[in-house]
Amino acid sequence: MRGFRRLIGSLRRYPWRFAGSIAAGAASIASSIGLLTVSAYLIARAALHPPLLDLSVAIVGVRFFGISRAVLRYVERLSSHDLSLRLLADLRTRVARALHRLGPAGVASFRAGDLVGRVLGDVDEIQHVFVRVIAPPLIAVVIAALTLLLALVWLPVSAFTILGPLLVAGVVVPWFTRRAGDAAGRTISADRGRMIGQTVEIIEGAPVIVALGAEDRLLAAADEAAERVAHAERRAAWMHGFGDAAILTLIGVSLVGTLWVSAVAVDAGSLDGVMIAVLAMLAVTPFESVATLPSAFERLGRSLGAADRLFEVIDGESPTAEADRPVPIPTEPTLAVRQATVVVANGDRVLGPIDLEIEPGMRVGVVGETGAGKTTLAHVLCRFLDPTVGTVTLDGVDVRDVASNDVRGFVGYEDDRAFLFRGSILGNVRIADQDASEGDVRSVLDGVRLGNWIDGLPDGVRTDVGEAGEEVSGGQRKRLALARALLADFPILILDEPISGLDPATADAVMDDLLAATAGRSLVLITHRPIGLDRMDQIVVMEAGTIVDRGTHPELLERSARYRSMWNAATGSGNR
Amino acid sequence: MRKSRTLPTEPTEPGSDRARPIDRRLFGLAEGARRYLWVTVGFGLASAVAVIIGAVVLAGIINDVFLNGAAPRSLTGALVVLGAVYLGRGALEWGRSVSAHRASATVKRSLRERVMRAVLAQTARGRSAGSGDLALTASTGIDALDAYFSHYLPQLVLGALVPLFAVVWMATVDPLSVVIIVLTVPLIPVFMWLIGTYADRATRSRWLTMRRLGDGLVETLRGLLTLEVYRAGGERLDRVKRLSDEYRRQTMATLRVAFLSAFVLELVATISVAVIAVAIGLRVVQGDLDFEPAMAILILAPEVYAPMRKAGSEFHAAMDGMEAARSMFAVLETADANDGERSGLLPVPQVAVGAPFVTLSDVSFSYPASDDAHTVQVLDGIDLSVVRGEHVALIGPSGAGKSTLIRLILGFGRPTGGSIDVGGVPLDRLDAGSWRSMIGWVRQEPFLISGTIADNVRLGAPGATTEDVASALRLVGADDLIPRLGETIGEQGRGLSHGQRRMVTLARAVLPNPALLLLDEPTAGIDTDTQLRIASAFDRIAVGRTVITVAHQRILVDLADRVITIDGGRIVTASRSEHR
Repeated sequence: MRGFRRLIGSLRRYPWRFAGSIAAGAASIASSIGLLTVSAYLIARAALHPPLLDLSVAIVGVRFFGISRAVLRYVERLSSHDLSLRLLADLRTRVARALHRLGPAGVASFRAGDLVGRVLGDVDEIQHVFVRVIAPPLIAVVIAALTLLLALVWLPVSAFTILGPLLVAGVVVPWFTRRAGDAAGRTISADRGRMIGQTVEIIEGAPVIVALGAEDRLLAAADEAAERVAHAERRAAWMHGFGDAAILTLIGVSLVGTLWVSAVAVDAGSLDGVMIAVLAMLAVTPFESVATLPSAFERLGRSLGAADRLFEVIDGESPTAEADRPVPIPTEPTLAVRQATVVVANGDRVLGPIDLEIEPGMRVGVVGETGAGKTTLAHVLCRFLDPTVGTVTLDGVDVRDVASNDVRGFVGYEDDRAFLFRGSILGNVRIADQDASEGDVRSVLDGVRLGNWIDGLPDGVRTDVGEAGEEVSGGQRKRLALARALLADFPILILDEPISGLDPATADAVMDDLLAATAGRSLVLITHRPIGLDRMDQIVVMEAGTIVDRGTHPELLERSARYRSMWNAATGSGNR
Repeated sequence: MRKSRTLPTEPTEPGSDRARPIDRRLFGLAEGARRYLWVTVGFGLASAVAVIIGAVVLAGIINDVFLNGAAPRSLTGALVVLGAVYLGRGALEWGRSVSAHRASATVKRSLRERVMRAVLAQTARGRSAGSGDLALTASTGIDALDAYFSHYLPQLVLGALVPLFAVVWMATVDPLSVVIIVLTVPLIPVFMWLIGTYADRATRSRWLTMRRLGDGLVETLRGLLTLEVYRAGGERLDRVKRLSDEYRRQTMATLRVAFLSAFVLELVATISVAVIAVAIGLRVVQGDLDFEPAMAILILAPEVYAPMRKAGSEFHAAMDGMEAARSMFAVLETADANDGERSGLLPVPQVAVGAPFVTLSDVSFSYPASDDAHTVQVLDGIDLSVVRGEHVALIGPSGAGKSTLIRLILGFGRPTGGSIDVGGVPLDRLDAGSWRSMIGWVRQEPFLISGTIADNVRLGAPGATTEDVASALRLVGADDLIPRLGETIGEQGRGLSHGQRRMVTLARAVLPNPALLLLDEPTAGIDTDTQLRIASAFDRIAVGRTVITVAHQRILVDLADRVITIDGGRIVTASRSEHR
């Protein structure tokens, strides 16, 4: 609910567009009220055979409303979508700004499994919120007010007979359909989830199922779930048409009631007979404005949830604090981690306490299984995350006193995904340094031995890498990521699983080349495949967030049976 | 297999039969659908009659009060009838909607079931059939049929019936209005079709640009780490803002055209009402037409155009449903097309240990590339004979064709050149079911069903006891999963680690005691501990079996009797291992 209120608050940036869109929507429905009431007036007056001139205003009115209805509706649809897209642009910018502030570590703290999918789904939902959820009730209110006004002018008592049913149709009916819908949705959703899961399993897993000869058993199970869903859907069918049916009936109530009070008024001489035709039309036409309310209400719950979740991201707190008066980084400093510990919001300790020193030019290997805390350590080193306890210092200067932008320029990081942006190879490498010349880019690409490959490409460095780099192979992607890290010229470079997902021959070649290309600078090599560790100055073994062993490669090979078996498994040397 | 999943919201290819309102297959394939079509027509008839009665009664009441000065009391009967008409219309509408949703539920269920059967049958015949897109369509995309059945179809029926009835009635009182209606009503579908086609084309051509623009935020999310590492986050913000504004401008340009069809629809409908109103008004003044029928015509006029307008507004939702249904029909039709069971299949021959078991002679495999212009050669002249009891490792870079080779041995797909024999009998003469029942296959991505761990292990051997399941897990070195046998795991094995998933699929493969094990990278992407456990279980698993392993990790390669290197679809080296 809070998020939704904030969302409505952002409408304030566009007061005129907002008012204009609602006005156009209301005027469009008012036109159809006008079309029929004026037409009824025209015909009723005509029945009294007045001179033709008396009818000319009514005739013009009918023609005007006949055209304005469609024009206004078109204007309304365009303006409401324009406003939606403006709100969407604002929202996207705010989400992007929040992501920038949170950084990868802050984003990771949102427990949602798939933040990308969630944010996009929510943004998509919000995209429709103005047109489908916010505008229809407001337009209905304007139409109700207009109807009230006309009723009061023409025959005050008809305000009761028309607005009573209109209110029921606009408030009670949507409320009821939403409640009934929720109840039905709850009973179906578990079975539905199972049915969807089984359908996907059978279709995507068909080869495995066929190979196992398990077709009939799985089909029978899927059939059972599908029948349960169909059964529940058949039973829930009664609630779907209720809204439309109720509104039709309420129109009947409005019409009959209004005709009765009008007839009484005409009989008493307090109402011109012509007006009963007009009032009959007024009793029917305003209901157009409430027809879409049931679906707006149905949608409301989803929109509220989406808005809340989005604003949770937008309001998220940065996991690092900027220093008020940042100090510069000392020259050629030693990076020292002292007793660094990271505790996440639910109280779990994901890292530490850790002690680690990286001298200029030193190469450190970090090994450990998934979940050992290697990535969290990398986030602390790049200052995407400040440790809860303990310090990270550069020659004694606490990194918290340094501008995080400066730390970023000092410590570089490439993770296992080696993400590539849509666009050219050149653009992807140049992200590291916007001012780099094509020659600079070319020389780092040669440095990671991509020169020959680039020469064979149709457009050289200007070749497109495809959406998320899908046009390049795993090995080329890792090399491109390394190239941009080299271009950025970080004094300390962290490479997280630089050979994951590569076949052994490629992995060995990439490892050799990356070690050669990074010669002379500090390197932190994070891996669960121990290739290349024999060429590190120091190796730390991590487990459950802490360092459980450290030493040089020969030392660990000698001392640790576990390290030895890992090494042998990867290299295939020695006996089992 | 495609991994990407897209919702079926993209506009379809040009020239598709998207706009065809009633697809005979939908009513031919699903029994509930045809019955519902008749129900809809019945309700449509009753509604059309009710609309006309309502208009006549209402006009009568107004006429009585206005021109005849009737006392309110004398109207009671007519008012009751009028109220009953609206109540009746409401009830009809409700009943129709209920039967629409029931029909929809039945049709969806039957389509789903038939598609699943068709996909399995196709796969068993060695043709690839399932995909992520189809799975999504069959599970949720098809729900869009609800809109088709409950909104679009009935409005279409009403859109035909109400004008027909109204015209018949009006012909008795005012032929001139009939002329106006007969001239304008057909304009609606014509305009809808004309503008719809144009707008669709305009939308489609802009679609790609719009998607590219819209993705600015996706890239920011996915590439956040990279942006921040290279201090490009701030620059990115401007980009998202710029792309969002550009997206808005492009979308609005599209919408201006796309909304035109709705605009014309509305315009024809309301102008026609206005024209009718003015025309009858003028004739009433001149005394050519009485007030009462004139009033009835005015009340009827909007009702004549309303169903068409509503059908127009439901058009896109309904067509999404039809689109989903059509992609499923396509699967059903291919499955039906090659339904002929092949006869004269042979049993799998007995092969002695040490004799040639699986023999590939000059096997090639290619498939047409996505642009259809050329073919992609995956395997190219593979000669390989595996003797019974042998343990062969296939190595080589990713994409070399190793997994394809495994699938061909399983009979999923046929070689485009050369042949595969089992004990001297060509594979395509064998009964595929009994051949596969002799094989234990572990593929690269573990496939797990939602259910208990025991259910998953037992998938290929339904008669296995809990003790059998436990000993299969023990055999592959997954003793830690034995106490968890009854534990329910979620879709795709949620709740288990990668290594555990692999263990479960390995246990599942060995439980039916297969003669041949096909292991496609059994240790890829899992932690070293599990890798070591699988490697040490290997001798136990392989004993008495023929094993073909696709492997990257040397730890497995070293265990093989023979190592075959495949690169670019060819065997480049074959070496006998020094291992044993």
